[in-house]
Amino acid sequence: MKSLLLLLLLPIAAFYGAIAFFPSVLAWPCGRLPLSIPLALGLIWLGFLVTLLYVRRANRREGQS
Amino acid sequence: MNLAQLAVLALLVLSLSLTLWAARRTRTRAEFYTAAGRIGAWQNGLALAGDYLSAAAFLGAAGLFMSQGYDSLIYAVGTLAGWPLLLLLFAEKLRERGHFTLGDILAERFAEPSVRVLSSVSSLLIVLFYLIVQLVGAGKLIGLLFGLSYLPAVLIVGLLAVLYVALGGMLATTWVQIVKACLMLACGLALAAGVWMKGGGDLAGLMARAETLHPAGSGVWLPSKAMANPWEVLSLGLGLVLGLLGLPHILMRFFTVPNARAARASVCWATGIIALFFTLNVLIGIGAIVFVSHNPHFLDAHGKLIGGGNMAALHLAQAIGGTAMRDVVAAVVFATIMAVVAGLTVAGASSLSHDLYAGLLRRGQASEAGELRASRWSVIALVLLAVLLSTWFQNQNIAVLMGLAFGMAASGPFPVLLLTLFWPGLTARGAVAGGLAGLFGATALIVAGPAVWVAVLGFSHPLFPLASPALCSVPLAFVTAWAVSRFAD
Repeated sequence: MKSLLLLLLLPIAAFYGAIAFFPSVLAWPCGRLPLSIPLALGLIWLGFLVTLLYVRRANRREGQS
Repeated sequence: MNLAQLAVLALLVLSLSLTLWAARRTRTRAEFYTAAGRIGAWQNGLALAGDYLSAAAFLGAAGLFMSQGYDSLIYAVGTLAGWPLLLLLFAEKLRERGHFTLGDILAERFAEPSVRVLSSVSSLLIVLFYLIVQLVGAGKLIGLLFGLSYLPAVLIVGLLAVLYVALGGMLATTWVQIVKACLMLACGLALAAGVWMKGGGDLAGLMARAETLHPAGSGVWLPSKAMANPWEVLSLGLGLVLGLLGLPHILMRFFTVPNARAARASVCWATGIIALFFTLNVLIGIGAIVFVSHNPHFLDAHGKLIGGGNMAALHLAQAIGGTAMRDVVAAVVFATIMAVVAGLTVAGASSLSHDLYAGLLRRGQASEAGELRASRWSVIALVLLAVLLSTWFQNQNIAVLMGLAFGMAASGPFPVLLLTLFWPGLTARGAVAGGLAGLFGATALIVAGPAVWVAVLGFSHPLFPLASPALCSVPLAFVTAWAVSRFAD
């Protein structure tokens, strides 16, 4: 659970930290888009990925016990 | 009768039929509060999404994107981050304990009545503030859409909520929320597809047009000036992430599934649906900038959007699919309001009847029939109070109430629940002191902040510089709970 918490919270903290203290980072180009858009969409789907990983892991653990 | 009225009528017939069906299956306390734990994982996932995605999310997110661009995504990221955290920290533990309310979870560890009172009062306050926001929004929207004045509009919404919840309990509420979540997702998909097609399938072209039309230019893809204060950004992020973990109507849904496996899967479903919705909202927001913000059909004589920013999604529907599509989206907005009001009502009424009446007044000795009767009267009392307060708040800034509900949820129930579940050192006095410090701290800081002290009370400078209190009120709750548990007992 700790690794999933870190996988979720570190990027989210970095995102809000960047908006708060280094907003110019978000304007860096990422292909034809500024970094801000893929970053936000990536973090939105990171939330889903973390829930999916946790559910798979917990179901496997439950199946083994 | 126009298409919007027909669509609303069809939704009313469907939801009332579901309520009558559910009423025949709601005869016990467990059935009323938790649908006897028989809700499946995907059903609970849809209901969680339906409970969380209010009309503010549906209409407000598109309006926010249109006016402030990227800020809408900053809110979405914080909102989504709360869901996996909810799964990792609470979902299974709540289900495993299998009770009716949050008060039950706390009372299992602490026998002192003060802990149950704290839980009940904090749940009721959060639900009431949230309910007032929904009712004020409902009154204004229904007025705009169907030409009804404010009071009849909120009375209709209140009456329907009473019918759904008092008759069908959690089962009817769940199915109303499932229907709403499906309709809202279909609407989001249709609007995004419409924007895509109207833009000729050229996303880069749409984005370029949005940059040209938006006052911020290319700054539309970056945080606005509202995010200029770094501490405000951090406080907002913390409040958004943790607020979800203290919302009673969301937490209560984990008592409705049969086991921990279903609780886990339901969060997965909800997170996927909400993530999809916020992703679609980027396209909808771009569409609102391109097809609505400069379209004279949707602007008044002063160049402002007719009906305000919250109408952006409805105007966009009209721009894409004409009046027919706007009417269907309006009907879905109505269903959205009803579903969220029903979810809040069932959570608030459970707290009144189960925690206060059965747990404290009857000291756990209430009969099944007596508690069920009390829960139905609680529904009526809660909705009446919310309707009355909403008439007083109709001309106030309701965003303050929403901030208050989220700030309280992040600072009161969340720290107490987290410490109760994970810290053996917490004492009953520590839980009560921490919860009270969080609740009163959040309230005091919001009142002393710019949203009330300056905007409502008219002072020139706020006593507390941030609009969002979480950065101070959440640590205050934790430190108080720790200090009182450690040193006062």
